[in-house]
Amino acid sequence: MLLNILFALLIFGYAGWAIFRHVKKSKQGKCAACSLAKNCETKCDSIS
Amino acid sequence: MLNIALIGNPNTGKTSLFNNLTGTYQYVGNWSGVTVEKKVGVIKNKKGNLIDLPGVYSLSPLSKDEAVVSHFFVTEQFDGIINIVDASQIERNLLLTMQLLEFGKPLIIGLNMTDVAKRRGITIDETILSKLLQVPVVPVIARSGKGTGTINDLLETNHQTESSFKIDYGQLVEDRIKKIISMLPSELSIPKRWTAIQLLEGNAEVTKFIASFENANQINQIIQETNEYVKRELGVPTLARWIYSVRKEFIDQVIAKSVVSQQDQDKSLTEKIDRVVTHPLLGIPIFLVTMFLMFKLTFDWLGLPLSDMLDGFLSGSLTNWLTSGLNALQASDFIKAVVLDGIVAGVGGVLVFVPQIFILFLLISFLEDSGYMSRAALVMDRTMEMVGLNGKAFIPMIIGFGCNVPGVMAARTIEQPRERLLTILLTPLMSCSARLPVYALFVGAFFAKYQALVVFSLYVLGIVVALTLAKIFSMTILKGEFSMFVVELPPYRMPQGKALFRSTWDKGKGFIKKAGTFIFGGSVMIWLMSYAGPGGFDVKMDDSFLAMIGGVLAPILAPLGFGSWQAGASLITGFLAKEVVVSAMNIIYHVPNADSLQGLLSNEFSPLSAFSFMVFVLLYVPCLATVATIRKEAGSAKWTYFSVGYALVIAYLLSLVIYQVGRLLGY
Repeated sequence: MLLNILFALLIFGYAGWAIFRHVKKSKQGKCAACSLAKNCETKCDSIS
Repeated sequence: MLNIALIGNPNTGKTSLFNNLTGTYQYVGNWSGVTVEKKVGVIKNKKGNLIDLPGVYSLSPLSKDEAVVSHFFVTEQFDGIINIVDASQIERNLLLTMQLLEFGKPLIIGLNMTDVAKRRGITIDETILSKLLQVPVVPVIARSGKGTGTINDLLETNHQTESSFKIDYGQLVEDRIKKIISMLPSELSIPKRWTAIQLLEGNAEVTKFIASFENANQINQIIQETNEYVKRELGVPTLARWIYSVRKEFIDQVIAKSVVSQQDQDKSLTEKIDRVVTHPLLGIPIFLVTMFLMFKLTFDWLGLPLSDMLDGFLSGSLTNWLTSGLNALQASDFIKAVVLDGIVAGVGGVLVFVPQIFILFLLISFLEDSGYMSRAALVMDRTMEMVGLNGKAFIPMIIGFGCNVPGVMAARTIEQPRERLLTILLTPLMSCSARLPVYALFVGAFFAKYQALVVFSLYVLGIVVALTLAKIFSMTILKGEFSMFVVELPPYRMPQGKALFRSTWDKGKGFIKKAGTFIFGGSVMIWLMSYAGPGGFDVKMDDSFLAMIGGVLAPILAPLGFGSWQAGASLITGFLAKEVVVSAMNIIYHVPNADSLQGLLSNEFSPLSAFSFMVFVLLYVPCLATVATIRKEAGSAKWTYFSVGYALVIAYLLSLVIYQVGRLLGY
């Protein structure tokens, strides 16, 4: 029983987080598509 | 930490050099305008940051990506410049170098493509060049990374030697330069002589920069006077022209001393190939055949057998392992259902098509890297002109075939605002790779023998609709002038295995990552909505929340041939990411593998309604990430709503026509 609750928490927790992150990242638009995003310091913000 | 700017003409290998110097991997293409935004990476020896700037011919900006560079020079602090120079086009490349040298920061020239230059009969003596320009010149092969070590070493030693380069622009202009310099504030953050010359040259960013200074009006007056003087006394139409000609003369002298040109023996292979592939009549058919072959390989010849194998594994071995694992752990029925009917069905249903996606990306990377894609833009130029755009707009569209987001961003290379907006609005009609799993699923079920042909027809339909709308928009809401298209055709080259696989992996890894994150999450949620309903949990799927939501759309979609709640529900989820349409279908139809889903679909769809569905998926709405990018790039909420709205209308109308006409014809 405990194991089942743990499984459910893990699966739904991760699923919720993944969706939340995807939507958040997508809304940023261009940076989400940039493969250098992690190393990039400008984060596409400096240029309007 | 040092901040080093990497700058050069378009398509000279800046991004390749950037990758080699920083050890990161950034998208590289054999065409102009790949980098439209500056990017920063840490140099391998950790001594500093490298800033990759968009390729420009001059520091005086014409388009938005060029303005990025001038803006950078005017407003940001940096310690040195690496100027990458294409040896085969040295004359034109040095024009930018002149402007950089005048800036006075320590500069290193990376002389790239010396091999191409040699083949054209041009040999450059870098020692003499270095002496004449008073800066280090390092021969590099940006693609393989040869020479980057020397640049790295030089960065450590060279960053204190400011360049003292000076060109004499003639007595009068020099006097005016001095006058402007004396009027600039003493605490100016950028070199005064450079500022004065750029102002005289008419650099809009610099003019904007000094506009707030107290002497701005007087400076502008001097510029005007000088302009008139140049016209009157020197017989040159503009001051910028005069500055250009002085620099050009200097460059000619430099070249005369440092470049050995021989008669071009080898009427190169590039020219021979170009005579065929850019032929006015044959060009477009060759482009279409190339595309068709690409799909033939992707679907019929290579992709299908591989994806069948993967499907066998996912629905066979993997499902069995998971089932016995879950049984051993005594998992409840609910957990078993979410794992097997939700995650495995949803994520697995999309992963099955990974082979097709990777093969297509490999082929696109090959074409890009070989140099053919620039020709495709050239070939399309005449057609594009007929609809109020030009060949340059086709490049963002080709990039859009991979993913619409970078496609929309690439529209920055277009100078003319009207054409730029038009390109931004139409790029989402290009069929991106996320739509591929949907096609793969349906062509497998309904058009087994003609898979490549049907997918090819969808891609072409995307282009045709984009061109038709371009014509309509440019005649109605986006009227305006036309601009000319000048494209630089890079020489053909055989793509290198390593770079090719890297660029394929780079494009494709996002897809796999998405499967593990968003598609996973989406699948779980879709499954939950199909498992729960107003009546509680474990309801019949027709009574679930998902059926209720999808059911709202069903009557609207009925005239298009797919009026079921299942189609409606999967289309709604597709707005977040188009692959999810396939996940949703797998979960809804609750089948163990792609083969049986395809079997089941044939009860729900006919070949005609399946085609109508695919057309709808192709056009109906850009995904969330693309919409957000359009909002940022177009800078207008109105145009963003418009891009979503017109796509929905067009998708509906076209699917309606296809389905209804098809039925009348007896399909």
